[in-house]
Amino acid sequence: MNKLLSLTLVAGLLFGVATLPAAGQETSADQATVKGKVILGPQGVDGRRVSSKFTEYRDVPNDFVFGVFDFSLAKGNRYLTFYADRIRQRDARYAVAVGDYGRYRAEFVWDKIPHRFSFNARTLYVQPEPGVFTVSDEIRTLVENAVGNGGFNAAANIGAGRSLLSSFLDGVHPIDLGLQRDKGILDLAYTPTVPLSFGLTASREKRTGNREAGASFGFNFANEIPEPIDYITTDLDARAEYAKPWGTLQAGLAVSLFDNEIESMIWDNPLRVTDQTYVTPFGAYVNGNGAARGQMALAPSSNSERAYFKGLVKVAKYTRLYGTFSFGIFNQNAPLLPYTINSALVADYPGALTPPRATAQAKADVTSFDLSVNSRLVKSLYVKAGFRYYNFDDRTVAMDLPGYTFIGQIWEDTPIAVEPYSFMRSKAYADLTWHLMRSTSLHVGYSYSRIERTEGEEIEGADENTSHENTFKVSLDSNVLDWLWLRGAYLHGARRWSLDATDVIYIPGFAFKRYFESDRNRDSVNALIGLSPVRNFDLELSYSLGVDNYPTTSYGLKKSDFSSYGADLTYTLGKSSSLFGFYTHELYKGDQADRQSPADVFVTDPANDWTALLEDHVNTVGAGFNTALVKDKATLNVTYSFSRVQGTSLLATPAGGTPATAVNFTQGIDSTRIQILRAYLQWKLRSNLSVGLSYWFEQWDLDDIVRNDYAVNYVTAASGMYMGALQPGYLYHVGSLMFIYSW
Amino acid sequence: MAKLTRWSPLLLLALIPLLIVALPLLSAPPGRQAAQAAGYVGMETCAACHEATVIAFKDSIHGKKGFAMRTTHECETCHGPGKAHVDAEGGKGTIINPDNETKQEQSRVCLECHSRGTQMMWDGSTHDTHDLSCLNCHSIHEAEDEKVLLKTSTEPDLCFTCHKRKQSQFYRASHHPIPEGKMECTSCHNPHGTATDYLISADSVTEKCYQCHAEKRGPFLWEHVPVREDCTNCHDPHGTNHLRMLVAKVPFLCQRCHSDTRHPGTLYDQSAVDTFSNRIVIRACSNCHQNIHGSNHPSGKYFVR
Repeated sequence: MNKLLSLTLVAGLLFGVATLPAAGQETSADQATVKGKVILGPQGVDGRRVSSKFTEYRDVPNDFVFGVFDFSLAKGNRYLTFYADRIRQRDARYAVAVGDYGRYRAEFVWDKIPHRFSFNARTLYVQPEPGVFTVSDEIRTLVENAVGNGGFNAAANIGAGRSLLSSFLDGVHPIDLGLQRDKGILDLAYTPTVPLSFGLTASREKRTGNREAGASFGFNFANEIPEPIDYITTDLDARAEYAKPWGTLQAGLAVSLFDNEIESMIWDNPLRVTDQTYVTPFGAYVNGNGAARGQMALAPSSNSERAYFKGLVKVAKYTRLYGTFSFGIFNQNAPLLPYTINSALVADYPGALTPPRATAQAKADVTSFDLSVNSRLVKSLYVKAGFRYYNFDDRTVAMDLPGYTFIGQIWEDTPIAVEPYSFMRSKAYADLTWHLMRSTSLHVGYSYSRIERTEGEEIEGADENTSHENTFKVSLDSNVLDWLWLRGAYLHGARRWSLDATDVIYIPGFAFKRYFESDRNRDSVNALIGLSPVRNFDLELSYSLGVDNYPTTSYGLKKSDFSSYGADLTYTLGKSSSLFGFYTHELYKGDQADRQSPADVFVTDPANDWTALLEDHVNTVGAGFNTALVKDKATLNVTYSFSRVQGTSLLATPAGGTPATAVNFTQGIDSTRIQILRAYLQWKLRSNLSVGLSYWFEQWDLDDIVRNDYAVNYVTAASGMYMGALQPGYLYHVGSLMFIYSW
Repeated sequence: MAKLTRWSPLLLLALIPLLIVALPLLSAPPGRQAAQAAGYVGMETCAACHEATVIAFKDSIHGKKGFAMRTTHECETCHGPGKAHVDAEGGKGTIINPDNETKQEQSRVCLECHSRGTQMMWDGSTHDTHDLSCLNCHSIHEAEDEKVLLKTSTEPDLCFTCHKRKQSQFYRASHHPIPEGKMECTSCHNPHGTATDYLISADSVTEKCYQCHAEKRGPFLWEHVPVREDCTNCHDPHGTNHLRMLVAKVPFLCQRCHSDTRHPGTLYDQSAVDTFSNRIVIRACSNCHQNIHGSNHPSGKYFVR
């Protein structure tokens, strides 16, 4: 990539320099102008730095930093620009552009985005080749001998086996979990004449690294390994546009190729070195004492092609007709893996070690269409009406399977079928906007939306279902007084599901509904008030409320709502001083119910019910000021922000059932706190040279019942073997002395 | 693994010189508009009193040929004929001040040229119907951002002027990298108007997500229905306090749709935490149901393979 980048930069520079003198038609007044800026200097970093969270998406080096390089060369209407920031860092960005205003532009961007998950992960596995994870045969043999074979042994001795395995965990080695995206984007735009323009955007992204993946061998034996990521995504979008006073037409073709260099992974079962299965399934797949190795399908390579057309026609002075149409195909035909690689399962199904067919033959046709008209009916009254249609037609070749393997442990002799899921979404809408008076408008809207599903439910008789929703909204926006502006909006939606009256998912009387499709009443309110009671002082007050009620849902998500309110103020003290402050409070709630059934038979006794009310309480506050310490010479900018989220829960269950009681969590389920302080002093030494002294403090803490330091360890308790991929709290002090030189 | 045809980046780069060489053959010299009509005084007259503004304007993107290709009236394209203003030796009320126009008139001026590309669907769009105009976000003469003339130096700062809750969400533990400067609001939204709800600049929410998360596109042998319909059934892309921007903590999120014999309907409370149950610790359900976005494995019906 460095060679490619260098080639591009050199080519761009040479072209830019070559074209400038060739502009012989420009007058001598079109002098070439060169501008630029460089920001660089030393940076020091200190603090509690064991967490990857601070550098999740960025690099903050304790080093000399080349912050920004900005260069532009222009002559007349032609230009060449080069911009780079965070140079040589893993979050660097480089952009070079050449162009002639009004005629063409060519830009190339190279963008790097890290995504770090944890510095703390450790694993017993080694990866001798991409996608293959092994544990030493010696360890596995010892554990297998300790547990023994057969269902009885699996239940009786599994604890001893895991205990033996845990004694080897001193040998785990650290592994950095994270991804790196490196993306190159080429964007070309060409306008040969005013109404006609062409565009071409091509990009290629390489994403590599690893992240935690669940590679279980049994529901009582979770197992975490670092999933290898090696993706290449190549996109191409070619388009043309024709724009005249009567309207605009656009047409294009977009292609996307996703290539996964590692489409499956195989990993050893640390409990076994030989394959086995059981006559009685329960003892096997629960404890993971069956297959010697597991194999999982990772994201398959795929491609999509889409042709699209958009048009705007100015039918009359105040009437616009819009239309969009696109047709695309999603294709995925990766080779299929066998049902299992557990050789013992051929005794139950001879074809278990072969795939049901050679390739996936997965495909979907995706069609979208929109037609709308926007017009002024009379002075100050506008109407917009339209229809929108989106169809995801899954054309994957259906397949009947005689059974399947369960976590690679046993053969389930239950026929299943691959039945492609399709859905069609449509929406008809109409809006009226009435400009009541100057700077005040009332907006009323109605929409009817519908989603029709095919093969969405696995329950017999529920293969096809529909959700439809009527939504009404009204809003008022007013700035009729210079010092006051108001925005208010209300929305009410009522969604109904075609199968809601039937207890389709489980048993009659157990009205369990899935919130993404079931009956729902939605109400939301948003209000924004802006006040400028005195000159240079602005106060903004906001309030919003949203409630989703699921009126026929007795089990599942019954209600979900949020509310927030806040205040923002800014005050300009003078020409070069200002201060600001803000506060926001938010509350998110989810109320759900369920029923516990311990055995294979679904329990009808409501005494087994339980409920959970989850809440997130959020408080965010910030303030800052910007001032000139010395006029035209020195400025100081200071900002501070603090945000705290407290996640709480309330669990309950009636007496007399199972569970007997709900043991509420002894602390908040997940709480975080972040505070950020930034101070920046810039001193102008000369007209083109300044010095910037900055200090940045950031602290983040996490208190999570399942991810705290003490709980998230690399253990082989009753439940599994993890990597301990923590993101503990951090505290950083970052100081820098930057020199800013411009020309 | 089947190899797919790839576009060679070098091949694409090779197109650049070809395109550039072809330019003179394809381009026609731009036509010039008619001479200044009556009532128009020209930019140099404006500069007599507004020199600094005119110099800055010439240096901005509107001072370049692209603007001149569409109009010869320069300042008076937006401000209207300036003769009356000059004759009156300046003063308010003698020339159009866009700040004093109605929102619709403010936008109409810009839309004379900018009703194409991503601005094509402005009329009747969400921001338009909420009485916003181009000048609420852009400033021709006092822009902080040079490229698209935004009133603030960064795009998120502008959007957060009104979208307070979204601003607060980006402080959450799990968020898209907008605060880190690796994404912007327009990475997903087109504020000028789209056919898709929420101003998403794609045909659907899921197709927008696939632009960066193509590994979720599939389609798969085994589909997870709410995943295929809408990623926001489980995720809030602006930020949450839960892993992977999920809207609620697992396993409770999954239990909003799944209840069955044995573990899907089981209550996982403090006692499960105390025994380090894999149904609640670490990634809870995803500890086993790894391929939750869809599986291509013949035995992947329950997303464990």
